[in-house]
Parts: sequence; structure tokens; C-alpha cells
Amino acid sequence: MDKRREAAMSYSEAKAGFSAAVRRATQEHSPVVFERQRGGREGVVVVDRDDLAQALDDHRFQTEVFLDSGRYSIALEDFGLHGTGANFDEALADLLEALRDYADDYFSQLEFYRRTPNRAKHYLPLLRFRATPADKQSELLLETDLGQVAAAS
Amino acid sequence: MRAPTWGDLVAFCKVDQWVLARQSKHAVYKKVLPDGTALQTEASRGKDRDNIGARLFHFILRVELQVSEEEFWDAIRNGEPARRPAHPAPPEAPPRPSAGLVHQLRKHVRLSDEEIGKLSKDDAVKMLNEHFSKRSD
Repeated sequence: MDKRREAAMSYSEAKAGFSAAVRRATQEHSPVVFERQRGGREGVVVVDRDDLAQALDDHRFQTEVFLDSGRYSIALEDFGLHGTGANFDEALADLLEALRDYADDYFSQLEFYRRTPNRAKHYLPLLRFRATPADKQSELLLETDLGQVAAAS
Repeated sequence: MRAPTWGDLVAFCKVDQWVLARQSKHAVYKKVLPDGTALQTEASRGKDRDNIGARLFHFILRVELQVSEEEFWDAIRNGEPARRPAHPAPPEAPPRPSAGLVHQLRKHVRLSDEEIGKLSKDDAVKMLNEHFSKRSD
């Protein structure tokens, strides 16, 4: 394989060597670029999920918990979202659902959100959220600020 | 002023010309301000008469609707969009604990909901640090 092909594979090469490319990304931790050879600059990058999660680790979800007459609410100020419930777990599940719906909206209307002054910055945190396995996404809402609680973090 | 309900939030969204974007467990409303700011809020469906709760209402006004409480009620009373630029209240002080801190407090310190409700973020951090420092003695 020449240097050019190490840097990027055409879509037809990607079809033929998809398993090898994924293995390179996941086992050798080397990102692989698939690039359309004709018709512009379109390309796709395959990155190991854990490597991506580590690279995006700084993009945290800062929550705030309110209790009103025994009912829990958990808010995500940066995203303008909230979840509510009769107890903490219900409120967390409600917020998680709101964040999943928002991520779906965001990526399906990316051109719109990229132009908004208050939501363009959500791309990287939502990429981190989307790249996290569904059964681990709630843990992103439970992260404690680094260094805030020394023994618990 | 009376306690706000989810029905009041829906009424505000209607008079302030928000778009109903989705209805599932919650009704999701969206509005784009003239400067391009994209606002979003959601109201629990089938709970129109239930109170929102003072702290959550403050958050919804300040962050999601970006209006003051007075502007919220004026819009509903007058049946007209809120005056903008609006004047939302500043954040609640002191800051509330995060979900991560509350999760740790429930798991390790076994605090009740009532006790958690009284804590600020700083109180929560202090309490957890004290708990873990005692445990490591």
C-alpha cells in the first residue's frame, strides 16, 4: 500500500477492505479515512469508539438538580433541557430521553443548528453522547466534575 | 402570583408563537429569536393542572423561555407575544448540586430527598469529601 492509500481509501477500496479498515481503527488505534475519489471532498473517518470517547472527555454534561415538593427535576443548562420525575431515577431517565431526542433532532438538522449562536457548540458533546453505548449514556449525566470530589471521582 | 402549571407553559408557548415540534410523553415547543437563538422547552402531557414547581419554573423561564416571570404572565394575560428583548432573572444562587453529586450522596451517604433538597452544590461537595475522608481513616 502506498503512502496515499495509507492516508485515505477510496469508497471502492473501503467496500473491499472494510473489515481490515475497522480492525486497523479498533486494534491498531489508527483512524482510517474513506474518501470519494471523484466528485468533491466528501469523506468519512472510522475511529475506535473508546479513542473517540477519550478524545471528547472534556465535553461534559453539567447538570443541576432541583427538588420541589418532593418531585425531582434535573436540568442541563447548556442545552436548555430538563427532566422531571417522582424520584431521582425517574427524573434522570426523563432527562436522558430528552437528550436522546435532542441529539436526533440536532444531527438531522445540523445545518440549522450550526448557524444558531447558542447551539452550534453542542456538536462535540452530542457526538460524545451519540458515540457512547446506549446503556452507558446515563453515566454521562452522572459524571462528577474532575477534582471536585477527590475520593469519589 | 399563583403557582405556574404545565398548562400555563403551553398557554405561553401558544401566545408567544412557539412551534409545536413533537408530541410524545412531552409536548416539545421551539422558537427561533430574531438573532438566531434557538429556544426549546417541553411540557409534560396530560398534566396541565399540575404545578411545575418554583425552582424548575425559574429554570424554564431563565434558560428555556428567556423571559422574566412578569413577562411570562403578561403574555398569557394579554394574549400577545412576550416583549423582547426580554429580561430573564439571574441564575438561582447558590448553585444546585449536580446529578452526579446527588447520585453519590444517595449511594454513599444515604441522604433522604428532604436532606438533598436543602443542599447547595458546595454543601454537597463538602459532605461527600468529609464522608470519603472519614472512610479512608
